[in-house]
Amino acid sequence: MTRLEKQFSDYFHAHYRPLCLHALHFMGNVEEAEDVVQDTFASLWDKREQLESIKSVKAYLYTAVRNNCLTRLRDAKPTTPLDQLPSEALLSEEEQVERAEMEARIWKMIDELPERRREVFLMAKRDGMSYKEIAKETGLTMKTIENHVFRAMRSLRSKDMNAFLFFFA
Amino acid sequence: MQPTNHHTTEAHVRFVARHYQPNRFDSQKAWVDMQKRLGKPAKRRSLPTYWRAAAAAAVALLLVAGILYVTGDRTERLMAKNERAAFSLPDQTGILMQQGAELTYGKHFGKNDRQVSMRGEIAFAVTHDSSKPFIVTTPTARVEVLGTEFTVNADDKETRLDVASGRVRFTPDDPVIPLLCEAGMAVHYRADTKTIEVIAPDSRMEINGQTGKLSFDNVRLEEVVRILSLYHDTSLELPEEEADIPFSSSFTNQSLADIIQIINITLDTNINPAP
Repeated sequence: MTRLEKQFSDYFHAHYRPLCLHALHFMGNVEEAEDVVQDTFASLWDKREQLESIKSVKAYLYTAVRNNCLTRLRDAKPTTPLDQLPSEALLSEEEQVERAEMEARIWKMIDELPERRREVFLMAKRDGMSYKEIAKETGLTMKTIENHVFRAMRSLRSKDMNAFLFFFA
Repeated sequence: MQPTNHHTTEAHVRFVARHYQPNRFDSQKAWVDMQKRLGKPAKRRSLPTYWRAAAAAAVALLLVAGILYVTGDRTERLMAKNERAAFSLPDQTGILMQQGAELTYGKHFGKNDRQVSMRGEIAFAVTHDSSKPFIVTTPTARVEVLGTEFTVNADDKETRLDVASGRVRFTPDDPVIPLLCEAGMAVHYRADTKTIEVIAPDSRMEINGQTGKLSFDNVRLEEVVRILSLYHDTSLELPEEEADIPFSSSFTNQSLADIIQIINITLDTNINPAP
């Protein structure tokens, strides 16, 4: 693998998931978000000779993904009134990157949950069901459900807060 | 956007949960698609000599996307012949091997435990199974996985670890100091000089088993005390409210008593030998 290819692959692996979350805020659809991000990387690949002259490849990627999303949205609905454009402009670029990275960690955390806990967690957070409703649906006790959600959130918080710390076992 | 702001976190959690789909936004999987799309399928090169040597000892051979797959009596052996090569282990753990990397696992991998040995550079996306820890051994260290994505790069003299997500326990062979590593952290261990370097996004630490030098840069006091305890094989106590104080300094072959005194005086803390 050439040095450029290695650089490209490092950027891909480091930023793929957060960029997908970034795109998801514009597209509102997982498949399209992933599609935009892959398109963006494909066009970066075409320009790989210039990779070293891009000052911050990360900032470039976030901007490129946003622009590609906006282009798609504009082409899909040419008459979108300005006031219906996503409110993304309210966040600074830095905040958008932070948000994408935080949400990428959340996505990963959900990926890593044991199946049962994930199911309960999604019912609570995705479907907005109360513990009582989840109990009725799953036959689990309220206590168990509370425990599942609490533990899932705790694993997230500990990642959030301790991502920059380390422990010794 | 402070991580301690739970209301903010809650909004992000709900956003992600609303859109969550398993197996999406996965860089390892997407990379495989990406390579196809960029017209860079794993190239098949002519057989190098050591492939033939390996083949002699093998029962079966299979080339999967640039990986030479050797099935022996008791072990399966994977060797990445080309550039990056992706492969799934029997437990669905995804691995991405750099050219020259080798990985071996037993025929019974996944039955009672999940153990592999390796050298070269390999990225792992380990499937979650708390009953069967995933253990990677290298010529100089052991990495025990607690469900996660990480990269190990190892030869006979050194082992490097980069953790992308989740947690990994890394234990160098000498000095035996188990390190629990979280996302964003990297460890570089060199067996010849017995040095362990731990790099986190906002802190850094180095333990040199040969010269006896310990250096800490912005490390939480709790971790400093744990390292000192392990390194000097003794038990130290630290009041809980002092655990988060950041500590930066380095020591070379000072006695433990001196080190404790220096820290206690400079930080006004109360580290004590356990009674």
